[in-house]
Amino acid sequence: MNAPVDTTSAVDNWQRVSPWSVLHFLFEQLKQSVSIAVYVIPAFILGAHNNIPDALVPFIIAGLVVSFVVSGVLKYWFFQFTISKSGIAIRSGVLDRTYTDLPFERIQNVKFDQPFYFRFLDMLVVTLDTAGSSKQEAKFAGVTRDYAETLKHTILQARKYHQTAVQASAEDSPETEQQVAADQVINRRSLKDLILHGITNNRVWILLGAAAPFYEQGTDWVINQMTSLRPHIEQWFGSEAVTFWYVGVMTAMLVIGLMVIMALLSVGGSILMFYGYTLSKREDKYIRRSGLINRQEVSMKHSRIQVFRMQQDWLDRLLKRVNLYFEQNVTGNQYQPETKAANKLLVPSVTVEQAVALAEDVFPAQQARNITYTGAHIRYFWRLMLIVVTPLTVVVAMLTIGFLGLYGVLLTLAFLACASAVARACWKRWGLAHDDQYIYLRKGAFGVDYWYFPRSKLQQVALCQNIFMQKRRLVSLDLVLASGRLTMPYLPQDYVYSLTDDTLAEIEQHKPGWM
Amino acid sequence: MQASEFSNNVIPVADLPSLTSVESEPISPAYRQLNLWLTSAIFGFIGLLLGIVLVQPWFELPEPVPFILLLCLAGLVFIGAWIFTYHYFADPLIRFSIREQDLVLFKGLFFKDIICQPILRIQHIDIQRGPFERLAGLATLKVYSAGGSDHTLAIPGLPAESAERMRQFVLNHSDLSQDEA
Repeated sequence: MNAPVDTTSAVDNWQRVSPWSVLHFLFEQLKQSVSIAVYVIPAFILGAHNNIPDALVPFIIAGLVVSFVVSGVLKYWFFQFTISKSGIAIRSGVLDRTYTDLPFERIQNVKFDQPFYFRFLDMLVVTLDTAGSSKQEAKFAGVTRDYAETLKHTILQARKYHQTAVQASAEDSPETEQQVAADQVINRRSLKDLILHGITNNRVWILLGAAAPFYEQGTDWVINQMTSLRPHIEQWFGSEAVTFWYVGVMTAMLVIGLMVIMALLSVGGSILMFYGYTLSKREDKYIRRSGLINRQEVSMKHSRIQVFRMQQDWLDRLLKRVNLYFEQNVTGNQYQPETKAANKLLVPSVTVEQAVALAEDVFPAQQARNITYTGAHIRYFWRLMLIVVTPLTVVVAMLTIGFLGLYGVLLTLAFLACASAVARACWKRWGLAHDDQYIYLRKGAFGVDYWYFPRSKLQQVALCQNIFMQKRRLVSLDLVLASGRLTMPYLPQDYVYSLTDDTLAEIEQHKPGWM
Repeated sequence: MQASEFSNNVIPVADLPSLTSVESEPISPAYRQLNLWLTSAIFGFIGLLLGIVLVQPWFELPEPVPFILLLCLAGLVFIGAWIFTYHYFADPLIRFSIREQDLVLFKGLFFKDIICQPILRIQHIDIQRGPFERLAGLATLKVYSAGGSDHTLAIPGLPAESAERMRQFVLNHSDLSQDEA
C-alpha cells in the first residue's frame, strides 16, 4: 500500500485547515523564539544595544511581530491536505516543501489536543502518529471538533477494513459495530485525587514536607531545645560539635522549606496536567481527556495495550492509592515525558478498588494481587550488598570518619544498617508469577509495582546468568515486550526454562497478534 | 475404527522443544581471527606511536611527560591484552540455531546469554557488513522486533552467504506477514 495518493485526480480535493490555525503557528513560533531569546537577550543587553539606536527598537519589535504573522499566514496557506481512499497526503512548508503520505493502516494513534487559544473556538489540534519514526507524524491545527471526529472515524474505518482484508480470519471483532456508540466514562478524578497525586508523586521529598503546619512551632521548639541542651553538648562533645549541630539542624530546616515548595509545585503540576480527568471507553478504545489550560485527548486501542502496571510508592501505600499505566508500543516515540507520551495512558492516584476494577476491564481474570510469586534467590541480596551497599558504605566511611572521627563510625554503621534494610526490602519485593494467560512481575522496595501482561504479547526472551549463577542454577530473565523490557533477576533455572519454553511454544503455535 | 487425522499419543516431556536442549552451531572461526587481528593491530599501532614519541632522539620531553606516557603505554598493553584474551575465549562461545519457529543466540564468557526471538514477532531483518567484515567475508545478521532497537538480536560472524540464506529463510517464513497491519 505504498503507492502514493493519486495526486493528479486529487488536485481538486486539496483542502486547508481553518484560518484560525494561524493562531497555532503563531504560538509555535513564539515558543521557538522564547528559547532563542534566552540566548539573544543577554547578548543584546551586554553589547548589541550600544550599536542599535534606541529609536529603532520599536521598529525592530514591530518588524518581528509582522514577520511572525506573515510566516504564520504563509504556513497556514501552504498547509494542504487531501484524503483519499487509502490514506492522507499532506503538503506543507513554505520554503522547503514536504510531501507526507500517510496510509491509513500505518496510523497508530489519533491524538486530540486543545491548546488554550483554541479553547473558546472549540477547535482541536489533531496529531496522527505512525508506527515508524517520530518524525513521521502529522499535525492538523485548527480543526473543528466535528471534523476531527469524522477524520478519526474515517481512519479507524479504513484501518479496520484493511485489517479484515489482510487477515480474513483475524480475531478482530466483526464489523457490525455502531460507530455512534457514545463514550462511557469509566473513571473520573476529582481535585482531591489530583492533589493527592501531586503529593505522592514527589516521593521522598514529602515525608518532611508534610510537617509544614508544625513548621513554626517546630522551629521554636527546636531552637529552645538546642539552647537548653547546649551546655550539655559542649560538655559531652566539645564546642566544635556544637557548631556542627547547629549547622546540621539549620540545613535540615532549609531542606524542609524546599520540600514544601517542591510539594506545592508538584500539586500544581498535577492539577495543570490532569484537571477534569476522565477515562472513557468507546468500543474497543480507552480515551483519556484532561488538562486545565491545554485539554488533551489520548486514545488507545484495547488490543494495543501491551502491559498494565499498578504502581504504588510507599506514600501511595500509606494513602491506599495506586497509579495505573496502560502501556503500548514504544517504537518511534521513545523520548517523551511520561505524562505526555501517547504510548502510556496514566490514571493518576485511584483507590485500590478502582485499580482492581480497571485492571479487570483491561485484562480480565488477572490475579496480580493474590497470586503466589516466585522470589529472587538470597544471592541477589548478597549481590546488592556487594556491588551497591559496600562501595557506598566505604564512601560514607571515608567522608564521615575523616571529618568526625568516632561519630563518623557511628554514622557509617547507621548508614550500613539503613542501606542493608533497603537492599533487603528490594530483594524481598522481587517476584515473578504466571498463570495460563498472564505473566506477573512484582518489584519495588517500600512501594510495590505490579506489571502484568498477556503471555501472547511477548516479543523476545533473553536469559542471562553469570558463572556463579550457573553453578547455583539461577537465571535472570528478560522479557521484551513492544512497550519495553521487563527484567527479573535470580530465578530458579528450572522454573524459568519451563516458563519460557511454554510461552514460546504457545506463541509460535497459536500465532496471536500483539497489536 | 476409522483412520483419521486425530491422534492422542503420549509425548515424553523430554521431547518437547526446550531452550536447554537446543542444538546450536558455531559462528565462523574467522570472526575470532578478525577480532584478534583487529585488536592487535589497533593497540599495536597506538602503542608503537607512544613508544616512538617516548624514545625518539629529536626533542627532549619535559619532566612528567615520559612518566605519563609510560603509564599510558602500560594501561594500553593491559586493556589490549584484556580485550585480546576476552575475544580469544569468548568468541568461540557465540553460537546460534535456527529453529522452525525462532532464532536462538548463545553468547557470553562471564555472563552467559540465551536470546530467543520468535520469527512471528520479527519486524524486520537486515544484514550489516563493515569494511573489515567484508574483508573477512563475514556479515552480521540483525533481527529487529517491536519494543526498541536495544533489543535487537544480532548474530555476528556469519559467512556472508549463509547470512543471506538465513535472511531469506526468515523472509520466506509464513509467520512474517502475520503480525502486520
